[in-house]
Amino acid sequence: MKTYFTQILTISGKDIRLEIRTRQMAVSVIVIIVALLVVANLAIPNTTTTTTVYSTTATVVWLCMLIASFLVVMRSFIIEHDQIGFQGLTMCPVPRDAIYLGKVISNLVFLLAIESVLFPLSSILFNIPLLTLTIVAITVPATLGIAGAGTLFAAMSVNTKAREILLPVLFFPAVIPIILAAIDATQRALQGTTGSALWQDIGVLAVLSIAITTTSAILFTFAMDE
Amino acid sequence: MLLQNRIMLTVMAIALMASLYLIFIVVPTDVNLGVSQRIFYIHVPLAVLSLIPPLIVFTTSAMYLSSKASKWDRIAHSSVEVGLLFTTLALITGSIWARPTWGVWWTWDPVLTTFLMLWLVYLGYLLIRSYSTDPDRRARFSAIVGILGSVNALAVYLASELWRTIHPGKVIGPAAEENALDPSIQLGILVSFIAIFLLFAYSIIFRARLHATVDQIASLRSQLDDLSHDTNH
Repeated sequence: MKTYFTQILTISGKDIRLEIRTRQMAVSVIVIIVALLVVANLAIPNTTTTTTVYSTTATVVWLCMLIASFLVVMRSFIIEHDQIGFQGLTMCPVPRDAIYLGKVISNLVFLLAIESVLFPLSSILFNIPLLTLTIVAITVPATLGIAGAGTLFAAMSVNTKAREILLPVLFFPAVIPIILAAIDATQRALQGTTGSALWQDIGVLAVLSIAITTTSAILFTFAMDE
Repeated sequence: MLLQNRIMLTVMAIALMASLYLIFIVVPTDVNLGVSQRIFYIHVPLAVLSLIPPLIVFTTSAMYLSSKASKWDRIAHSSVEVGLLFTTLALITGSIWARPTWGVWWTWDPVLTTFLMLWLVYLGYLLIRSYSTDPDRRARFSAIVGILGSVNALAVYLASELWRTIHPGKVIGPAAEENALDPSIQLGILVSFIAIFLLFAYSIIFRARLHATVDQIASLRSQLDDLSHDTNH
Protein backbone atom coordinates (compact mmCIF):
# COMPACT_ATOMS: atom_id res chain seq x y z
CA MET A 1 0.00 0.00 0.00
CA LYS A 2 2.86 2.30 0.93
CA THR A 3 4.57 1.57 -2.40
CA TYR A 4 1.34 2.36 -4.25
CA PHE A 5 1.12 5.82 -2.68
CA THR A 6 4.83 6.40 -3.31
CA GLN A 7 4.27 5.54 -6.98
CA ILE A 8 1.37 8.01 -7.21
CA LEU A 9 3.35 10.77 -5.50
CA THR A 10 6.43 10.13 -7.64
CA ILE A 11 4.42 10.56 -10.83
CA SER A 12 2.65 13.71 -9.61
CA GLY A 13 5.89 15.05 -8.12
CA LYS A 14 7.63 14.70 -11.50
CA ASP A 15 4.97 16.85 -13.21
CA ILE A 16 4.93 19.47 -10.47
CA ARG A 17 8.74 19.71 -10.47
CA LEU A 18 8.75 20.12 -14.25
CA GLU A 19 6.26 22.97 -14.05
CA ILE A 20 8.10 24.72 -11.20
CA ARG A 21 11.31 24.59 -13.26
CA THR A 22 9.84 25.74 -16.59
CA ARG A 23 6.75 27.80 -15.50
CA GLN A 24 5.48 27.42 -19.07
CA MET A 25 1.89 26.61 -18.23
CA ALA A 26 1.36 28.98 -15.27
CA VAL A 27 2.27 32.11 -17.22
CA SER A 28 0.17 31.33 -20.30
CA VAL A 29 -2.89 30.22 -18.30
CA ILE A 30 -2.81 33.37 -16.14
CA VAL A 31 -2.55 35.58 -19.24
CA ILE A 32 -5.55 33.79 -20.76
CA ILE A 33 -7.57 34.11 -17.54
CA VAL A 34 -6.88 37.85 -17.20
CA ALA A 35 -7.86 38.36 -20.85
CA LEU A 36 -11.11 36.44 -20.26
CA LEU A 37 -11.91 38.53 -17.17
CA VAL A 38 -11.34 41.74 -19.14
CA VAL A 39 -13.80 40.56 -21.81
CA ALA A 40 -16.28 39.36 -19.16
CA ASN A 41 -16.38 42.76 -17.42
CA LEU A 42 -18.81 43.90 -20.12
CA ALA A 43 -21.25 41.22 -18.98
CA ILE A 44 -21.28 42.58 -15.43
CA PRO A 45 -22.62 46.16 -15.53
CA ASN A 46 -22.24 48.29 -12.40
CA THR A 47 -25.84 49.42 -12.40
CA THR A 48 -27.52 46.03 -11.88
CA THR A 49 -28.53 44.52 -8.56
CA THR A 50 -26.04 42.57 -6.41
CA THR A 51 -27.90 39.31 -7.12
CA THR A 52 -27.32 39.69 -10.86
CA VAL A 53 -23.66 40.56 -10.28
CA TYR A 54 -23.21 37.48 -8.07
CA SER A 55 -24.86 35.06 -10.48
CA THR A 56 -22.99 36.45 -13.51
CA THR A 57 -19.62 36.50 -11.75
CA ALA A 58 -20.01 32.93 -10.47
CA THR A 59 -20.64 31.83 -14.07
CA VAL A 60 -17.71 33.86 -15.43
CA VAL A 61 -15.29 32.46 -12.83
CA TRP A 62 -16.26 28.84 -13.55
CA LEU A 63 -16.15 29.41 -17.31
CA CYS A 64 -12.57 30.66 -16.85
CA MET A 65 -11.80 27.51 -14.86
CA LEU A 66 -13.31 25.34 -17.60
CA ILE A 67 -10.99 26.84 -20.20
CA ALA A 68 -7.98 26.80 -17.85
CA SER A 69 -8.58 23.15 -16.98
CA PHE A 70 -8.72 22.22 -20.67
CA LEU A 71 -5.27 23.79 -21.15
CA VAL A 72 -3.86 22.15 -18.02
CA VAL A 73 -4.99 18.58 -18.71
CA MET A 74 -4.06 18.78 -22.38
CA ARG A 75 -0.59 20.07 -21.51
CA SER A 76 0.01 17.31 -18.94
CA PHE A 77 -0.30 14.66 -21.65
CA ILE A 78 1.12 16.55 -24.63
CA ILE A 79 4.51 16.90 -22.88
CA GLU A 80 4.51 13.16 -22.20
CA HIS A 81 3.46 12.31 -25.73
CA ASP A 82 5.91 14.65 -27.48
CA GLN A 83 8.91 13.57 -25.41
CA ILE A 84 7.89 9.89 -25.52
CA GLY A 85 7.55 10.03 -21.73
CA PHE A 86 4.19 8.34 -21.84
CA GLN A 87 5.67 5.20 -23.35
CA GLY A 88 8.11 5.16 -20.44
CA LEU A 89 5.29 5.64 -17.95
CA THR A 90 3.26 2.75 -19.37
CA MET A 91 6.35 0.51 -19.33
CA CYS A 92 6.95 1.27 -15.64
CA PRO A 93 6.06 -1.60 -13.31
CA VAL A 94 3.25 0.43 -11.71
CA PRO A 95 -0.49 -0.18 -11.89
CA ARG A 96 -2.31 1.89 -14.53
CA ASP A 97 -4.55 3.51 -11.92
CA ALA A 98 -1.43 4.75 -10.06
CA ILE A 99 -0.42 6.58 -13.27
CA TYR A 100 -3.94 7.98 -13.51
CA LEU A 101 -4.07 9.10 -9.86
CA GLY A 102 -0.57 10.61 -10.11
CA LYS A 103 -1.69 12.67 -13.11
CA VAL A 104 -4.96 13.63 -11.37
CA ILE A 105 -3.06 14.88 -8.31
CA SER A 106 -0.62 16.98 -10.36
CA ASN A 107 -3.49 18.42 -12.44
CA LEU A 108 -5.46 19.10 -9.25
CA VAL A 109 -2.47 20.97 -7.76
CA PHE A 110 -2.09 23.05 -10.96
CA LEU A 111 -5.81 23.88 -11.05
CA LEU A 112 -5.92 24.82 -7.35
CA ALA A 113 -2.89 27.05 -7.93
CA ILE A 114 -4.71 28.75 -10.82
CA GLU A 115 -7.80 29.18 -8.63
CA SER A 116 -5.67 30.79 -5.92
CA VAL A 117 -4.90 33.51 -8.47
CA LEU A 118 -8.27 33.65 -10.25
CA PHE A 119 -10.47 33.94 -7.15
CA PRO A 120 -8.68 36.84 -5.42
CA LEU A 121 -8.34 38.60 -8.78
CA SER A 122 -12.08 38.24 -9.50
CA SER A 123 -12.88 39.42 -5.96
CA ILE A 124 -10.92 42.61 -6.58
CA LEU A 125 -12.03 43.23 -10.16
CA PHE A 126 -15.74 42.55 -9.66
CA ASN A 127 -15.99 43.56 -5.98
CA ILE A 128 -17.44 40.25 -4.76
CA PRO A 129 -16.63 38.19 -1.63
CA LEU A 130 -15.04 35.12 -3.27
CA LEU A 131 -12.44 34.50 -0.57
CA THR A 132 -14.44 32.55 2.00
CA LEU A 133 -14.19 29.07 3.47
CA THR A 134 -17.52 28.14 1.87
CA ILE A 135 -16.11 28.93 -1.59
CA VAL A 136 -13.07 26.75 -0.78
CA ALA A 137 -15.45 23.93 0.24
CA ILE A 138 -17.15 24.26 -3.17
CA THR A 139 -13.96 24.65 -5.19
CA VAL A 140 -11.99 21.64 -3.93
CA PRO A 141 -14.54 18.89 -4.83
CA ALA A 142 -15.44 20.65 -8.11
CA THR A 143 -11.78 20.89 -9.13
CA LEU A 144 -11.20 17.23 -8.24
CA GLY A 145 -14.04 16.18 -10.57
CA ILE A 146 -12.74 18.41 -13.38
CA ALA A 147 -9.19 17.02 -12.99
CA GLY A 148 -10.56 13.45 -12.78
CA ALA A 149 -12.57 13.59 -16.01
CA GLY A 150 -10.01 15.77 -17.80
CA THR A 151 -7.09 13.43 -17.11
CA LEU A 152 -8.92 10.45 -18.62
CA PHE A 153 -10.04 12.30 -21.74
CA ALA A 154 -6.65 13.95 -22.27
CA ALA A 155 -4.92 10.55 -22.07
CA MET A 156 -7.30 9.25 -24.72
CA SER A 157 -7.37 12.20 -27.10
CA VAL A 158 -3.58 12.63 -27.10
CA ASN A 159 -3.45 9.23 -28.82
CA THR A 160 -5.71 10.29 -31.69
CA LYS A 161 -5.23 12.26 -34.91
CA ALA A 162 -6.93 15.51 -33.83
CA ARG A 163 -6.12 15.76 -30.13
CA GLU A 164 -6.69 19.53 -29.69
CA ILE A 165 -10.11 19.36 -31.34
CA LEU A 166 -11.20 16.12 -29.76
CA LEU A 167 -10.39 16.91 -26.12
CA PRO A 168 -12.87 19.80 -25.68
CA VAL A 169 -15.57 17.81 -27.52
CA LEU A 170 -15.22 14.99 -24.98
CA PHE A 171 -14.15 16.93 -21.91
CA PHE A 172 -16.57 19.90 -21.86
CA PRO A 173 -19.80 17.85 -21.96
CA ALA A 174 -18.33 15.45 -19.38
CA VAL A 175 -17.76 18.20 -16.82
CA ILE A 176 -21.02 20.08 -17.48
CA PRO A 177 -22.76 18.51 -14.42
CA ILE A 178 -19.87 19.53 -12.15
CA ILE A 179 -19.62 23.04 -13.61
CA LEU A 180 -23.42 23.54 -13.31
CA ALA A 181 -23.34 22.35 -9.71
CA ALA A 182 -20.31 24.51 -8.87
CA ILE A 183 -21.84 27.64 -10.43
CA ASP A 184 -25.08 27.10 -8.54
CA ALA A 185 -23.34 26.50 -5.20
CA THR A 186 -21.08 29.55 -5.74
CA GLN A 187 -24.12 31.73 -6.55
CA ARG A 188 -25.82 30.56 -3.36
CA ALA A 189 -22.71 31.09 -1.27
CA LEU A 190 -22.27 34.63 -2.66
CA GLN A 191 -25.89 35.45 -1.95
CA GLY A 192 -25.33 34.52 1.67
CA THR A 193 -27.16 31.18 1.74
CA THR A 194 -25.95 29.13 4.69
CA GLY A 195 -26.92 25.94 6.48
CA SER A 196 -28.32 22.72 5.08
CA ALA A 197 -29.34 24.07 1.64
CA LEU A 198 -25.78 25.04 0.78
CA TRP A 199 -24.21 21.94 2.36
CA GLN A 200 -26.58 19.77 0.36
CA ASP A 201 -25.23 21.44 -2.80
CA ILE A 202 -21.65 20.85 -1.70
CA GLY A 203 -22.49 17.24 -0.80
CA VAL A 204 -23.97 16.59 -4.26
CA LEU A 205 -20.91 18.19 -5.83
CA ALA A 206 -18.58 15.98 -3.78
CA VAL A 207 -20.51 12.81 -4.64
CA LEU A 208 -20.55 13.74 -8.34
CA SER A 209 -16.80 14.45 -8.39
CA ILE A 210 -15.83 11.29 -6.51
CA ALA A 211 -18.13 9.22 -8.77
CA ILE A 212 -16.62 10.70 -11.95
CA THR A 213 -13.03 10.31 -10.70
CA THR A 214 -13.57 6.71 -9.55
CA THR A 215 -15.27 5.73 -12.83
CA SER A 216 -12.49 7.47 -14.78
CA ALA A 217 -9.80 5.61 -12.76
CA ILE A 218 -11.41 2.27 -13.67
CA LEU A 219 -11.87 3.27 -17.33
CA PHE A 220 -8.29 4.60 -17.55
CA THR A 221 -6.90 1.08 -17.08
CA PHE A 222 -8.93 0.01 -20.13
CA ALA A 223 -7.86 3.08 -22.12
CA MET A 224 -4.16 2.28 -21.57
CA ASP A 225 -4.59 -1.47 -22.10
CA GLU A 226 -2.24 -1.84 -25.10
CA MET B 1 -32.64 -12.99 -43.88
CA LEU B 2 -33.94 -11.25 -47.02
CA LEU B 3 -37.55 -12.32 -46.39
CA GLN B 4 -37.26 -11.28 -42.74
CA ASN B 5 -36.00 -7.87 -43.87
CA ARG B 6 -38.85 -7.45 -46.32
CA ILE B 7 -41.47 -8.36 -43.72
CA MET B 8 -39.98 -5.92 -41.22
CA LEU B 9 -39.80 -3.13 -43.79
CA THR B 10 -43.39 -3.74 -44.98
CA VAL B 11 -44.81 -3.72 -41.44
CA MET B 12 -42.84 -0.56 -40.66
CA ALA B 13 -44.02 1.16 -43.86
CA ILE B 14 -47.66 0.29 -43.17
CA ALA B 15 -47.41 1.51 -39.56
CA LEU B 16 -45.78 4.78 -40.67
CA MET B 17 -48.47 5.40 -43.33
CA ALA B 18 -51.22 4.59 -40.81
CA SER B 19 -49.75 6.96 -38.24
CA LEU B 20 -49.49 9.79 -40.80
CA TYR B 21 -53.12 9.17 -41.83
CA LEU B 22 -54.23 9.29 -38.19
CA ILE B 23 -52.19 12.41 -37.39
CA PHE B 24 -53.31 14.50 -40.34
CA ILE B 25 -56.82 13.18 -41.15
CA VAL B 26 -58.44 11.41 -38.19
CA VAL B 27 -57.19 13.09 -35.00
CA PRO B 28 -59.12 16.28 -34.07
CA THR B 29 -57.28 19.61 -33.68
CA ASP B 30 -56.41 20.42 -30.06
CA VAL B 31 -58.67 23.11 -28.56
CA ASN B 32 -55.93 24.90 -26.63
CA LEU B 33 -52.77 24.27 -28.62
CA GLY B 34 -54.25 24.30 -32.12
CA VAL B 35 -52.73 22.59 -35.13
CA SER B 36 -49.17 22.74 -33.71
CA GLN B 37 -50.10 20.00 -31.24
CA ARG B 38 -50.11 17.46 -34.10
CA ILE B 39 -46.30 17.44 -34.03
CA PHE B 40 -46.57 15.74 -30.63
CA TYR B 41 -47.48 12.47 -32.29
CA ILE B 42 -44.03 12.46 -33.87
CA HIS B 43 -42.11 14.34 -31.17
CA VAL B 44 -43.11 12.27 -28.13
CA PRO B 45 -42.17 8.83 -29.56
CA LEU B 46 -38.89 10.29 -30.91
CA ALA B 47 -38.02 11.83 -27.55
CA VAL B 48 -38.99 8.79 -25.48
CA LEU B 49 -37.08 6.42 -27.78
CA SER B 50 -34.01 8.71 -27.63
CA LEU B 51 -33.65 7.66 -23.99
CA ILE B 52 -33.11 4.00 -24.91
CA PRO B 53 -29.71 4.31 -26.70
CA PRO B 54 -27.85 5.51 -23.55
CA LEU B 55 -28.98 2.32 -21.80
CA ILE B 56 -27.92 0.14 -24.75
CA VAL B 57 -24.62 2.02 -25.12
CA PHE B 58 -23.81 1.73 -21.41
CA THR B 59 -24.52 -2.02 -21.34
CA THR B 60 -22.87 -2.95 -24.64
CA SER B 61 -19.80 -0.77 -23.96
CA ALA B 62 -19.29 -2.45 -20.57
CA MET B 63 -19.74 -5.84 -22.29
CA TYR B 64 -17.16 -4.88 -24.91
CA LEU B 65 -14.58 -3.79 -22.33
CA SER B 66 -15.00 -7.02 -20.37
CA SER B 67 -15.20 -9.46 -23.32
CA LYS B 68 -13.49 -7.60 -26.24
CA ALA B 69 -16.11 -9.15 -28.57
CA SER B 70 -16.53 -6.76 -31.51
CA LYS B 71 -20.28 -7.42 -31.80
CA TRP B 72 -20.87 -5.35 -28.64
CA ASP B 73 -18.89 -2.49 -30.13
CA ARG B 74 -20.96 -2.66 -33.32
CA ILE B 75 -24.26 -2.57 -31.38
CA ALA B 76 -23.04 0.38 -29.28
CA HIS B 77 -21.89 2.23 -32.41
CA SER B 78 -25.21 1.63 -34.19
CA SER B 79 -27.20 2.72 -31.13
CA VAL B 80 -25.25 5.97 -30.96
CA GLU B 81 -25.84 6.67 -34.67
CA VAL B 82 -29.58 6.05 -34.34
CA GLY B 83 -29.62 7.87 -30.98
CA LEU B 84 -28.02 10.92 -32.59
CA LEU B 85 -30.60 10.92 -35.37
CA PHE B 86 -33.53 10.54 -32.95
CA THR B 87 -32.19 13.15 -30.51
CA THR B 88 -31.65 15.63 -33.36
CA LEU B 89 -35.19 15.07 -34.64
CA ALA B 90 -36.62 15.28 -31.10
CA LEU B 91 -34.82 18.59 -30.53
CA ILE B 92 -36.00 20.01 -33.88
CA THR B 93 -39.64 18.87 -33.55
CA GLY B 94 -39.72 20.06 -29.92
CA SER B 95 -38.41 23.45 -30.96
CA ILE B 96 -40.99 23.76 -33.74
CA TRP B 97 -43.73 23.05 -31.19
CA ALA B 98 -42.26 25.33 -28.51
CA ARG B 99 -42.13 28.43 -30.73
CA PRO B 100 -45.91 28.93 -31.20
CA THR B 101 -46.78 27.52 -27.74
CA TRP B 102 -44.17 28.97 -25.37
CA GLY B 103 -43.16 31.86 -27.66
CA VAL B 104 -39.50 30.73 -27.66
CA TRP B 105 -37.52 28.19 -29.67
CA TRP B 106 -35.62 27.05 -26.60
CA THR B 107 -35.82 27.11 -22.81
CA TRP B 108 -33.38 25.71 -20.22
CA ASP B 109 -35.73 23.08 -18.91
CA PRO B 110 -34.06 19.97 -17.34
CA VAL B 111 -35.44 17.72 -20.09
CA LEU B 112 -34.23 20.01 -22.87
CA THR B 113 -30.80 20.44 -21.27
CA THR B 114 -30.44 16.66 -20.91
CA PHE B 115 -31.30 16.14 -24.57
CA LEU B 116 -28.80 18.75 -25.73
CA MET B 117 -26.19 17.11 -23.52
CA LEU B 118 -27.00 13.65 -24.92
CA TRP B 119 -26.65 15.08 -28.41
CA LEU B 120 -23.17 16.42 -27.55
CA VAL B 121 -22.13 13.08 -26.04
CA TYR B 122 -23.25 11.22 -29.17
CA LEU B 123 -21.27 13.60 -31.37
CA GLY B 124 -18.20 13.15 -29.15
CA TYR B 125 -18.58 9.38 -29.41
CA LEU B 126 -18.71 9.47 -33.22
CA LEU B 127 -15.81 11.95 -33.39
CA ILE B 128 -13.48 9.81 -31.28
CA ARG B 129 -14.33 6.89 -33.55
CA SER B 130 -13.44 8.83 -36.66
CA TYR B 131 -10.23 10.24 -35.19
CA SER B 132 -8.86 6.93 -33.87
CA THR B 133 -6.88 5.07 -36.52
CA ASP B 134 -6.28 1.77 -34.75
CA PRO B 135 -9.49 -0.40 -34.74
CA ASP B 136 -8.87 -1.89 -31.28
CA ARG B 137 -8.14 1.51 -29.77
CA ARG B 138 -11.17 2.99 -31.55
CA ALA B 139 -13.48 0.40 -29.97
CA ARG B 140 -11.94 0.81 -26.50
CA PHE B 141 -11.98 4.60 -26.53
CA SER B 142 -15.53 4.82 -27.81
CA ALA B 143 -16.71 2.29 -25.18
CA ILE B 144 -15.17 4.51 -22.49
CA VAL B 145 -16.84 7.62 -23.92
CA GLY B 146 -20.10 5.65 -24.19
CA ILE B 147 -20.04 4.60 -20.53
CA LEU B 148 -19.09 8.01 -19.13
CA GLY B 149 -21.48 9.78 -21.53
CA SER B 150 -24.47 7.67 -20.51
CA VAL B 151 -23.75 8.21 -16.81
CA ASN B 152 -23.24 11.89 -17.48
CA ALA B 153 -26.56 12.33 -19.27
CA LEU B 154 -28.23 11.04 -16.13
CA ALA B 155 -26.12 13.34 -13.94
CA VAL B 156 -27.04 16.37 -16.07
CA TYR B 157 -30.71 15.51 -15.72
CA LEU B 158 -30.40 15.20 -11.93
CA ALA B 159 -28.26 18.35 -11.69
CA SER B 160 -30.57 20.51 -13.76
CA GLU B 161 -33.64 19.04 -12.05
CA LEU B 162 -32.15 19.95 -8.67
CA TRP B 163 -30.96 23.41 -9.56
CA ARG B 164 -32.98 24.69 -12.49
CA THR B 165 -36.67 24.27 -11.92
CA ILE B 166 -37.92 26.93 -14.33
CA HIS B 167 -41.14 25.02 -14.93
CA PRO B 168 -42.36 21.44 -14.55
CA GLY B 169 -40.68 19.10 -17.00
CA LYS B 170 -43.90 17.19 -17.49
CA VAL B 171 -45.24 20.01 -19.68
CA ILE B 172 -43.39 18.64 -22.67
CA GLY B 173 -44.13 15.02 -21.74
CA PRO B 174 -47.23 13.15 -22.84
CA ALA B 175 -49.24 14.89 -20.06
CA ALA B 176 -50.98 17.13 -22.60
CA GLU B 177 -52.60 14.17 -24.28
CA GLU B 178 -53.64 12.48 -21.06
CA ASN B 179 -56.43 14.98 -20.54
CA ALA B 180 -57.81 14.37 -24.01
CA LEU B 181 -60.98 12.30 -24.12
CA ASP B 182 -61.06 11.51 -27.82
CA PRO B 183 -60.14 7.83 -28.36
CA SER B 184 -58.73 8.69 -31.82
CA ILE B 185 -56.03 10.72 -30.08
CA GLN B 186 -55.03 7.69 -28.01
CA LEU B 187 -55.01 5.55 -31.16
CA GLY B 188 -52.91 8.19 -32.93
CA ILE B 189 -50.28 8.10 -30.17
CA LEU B 190 -50.25 4.31 -30.03
CA VAL B 191 -49.82 3.85 -33.81
CA SER B 192 -47.13 6.57 -34.04
CA PHE B 193 -45.30 4.96 -31.17
CA ILE B 194 -45.36 1.52 -32.81
CA ALA B 195 -44.31 2.93 -36.20
CA ILE B 196 -41.45 4.99 -34.81
CA PHE B 197 -40.34 2.16 -32.52
CA LEU B 198 -40.13 -0.17 -35.55
CA LEU B 199 -38.10 2.46 -37.38
CA PHE B 200 -35.81 2.77 -34.35
CA ALA B 201 -35.29 -0.97 -33.85
CA TYR B 202 -34.88 -1.65 -37.56
CA SER B 203 -32.34 1.15 -37.95
CA ILE B 204 -30.18 -0.21 -35.11
CA ILE B 205 -30.33 -3.79 -36.44
CA PHE B 206 -29.64 -2.62 -40.00
CA ARG B 207 -26.67 -0.44 -38.97
CA ALA B 208 -25.19 -3.20 -36.77
CA ARG B 209 -25.39 -5.66 -39.70
CA LEU B 210 -23.83 -3.08 -42.01
CA HIS B 211 -20.94 -2.53 -39.58
CA ALA B 212 -20.47 -6.32 -39.34
CA THR B 213 -20.22 -6.50 -43.15
CA VAL B 214 -17.74 -3.61 -43.25
CA ASP B 215 -15.57 -5.34 -40.59
CA GLN B 216 -15.77 -8.61 -42.53
CA ILE B 217 -14.65 -6.91 -45.75
CA ALA B 218 -11.76 -5.20 -43.91
CA SER B 219 -10.57 -8.50 -42.43
CA LEU B 220 -10.87 -10.29 -45.82
CA ARG B 221 -8.92 -7.47 -47.43
CA SER B 222 -6.12 -7.72 -44.89
CA GLN B 223 -6.02 -11.51 -45.37
CA LEU B 224 -5.77 -10.96 -49.12
CA ASP B 225 -2.94 -8.47 -48.60
CA ASP B 226 -1.09 -10.99 -46.42
CA LEU B 227 -1.56 -13.70 -49.07
CA SER B 228 -0.29 -11.52 -51.93
CA HIS B 229 2.61 -10.43 -49.73
CA ASP B 230 3.50 -14.09 -49.11
CA THR B 231 3.30 -15.01 -52.85
CA ASN B 232 5.54 -12.06 -53.78
CA HIS B 233 8.21 -13.46 -51.54
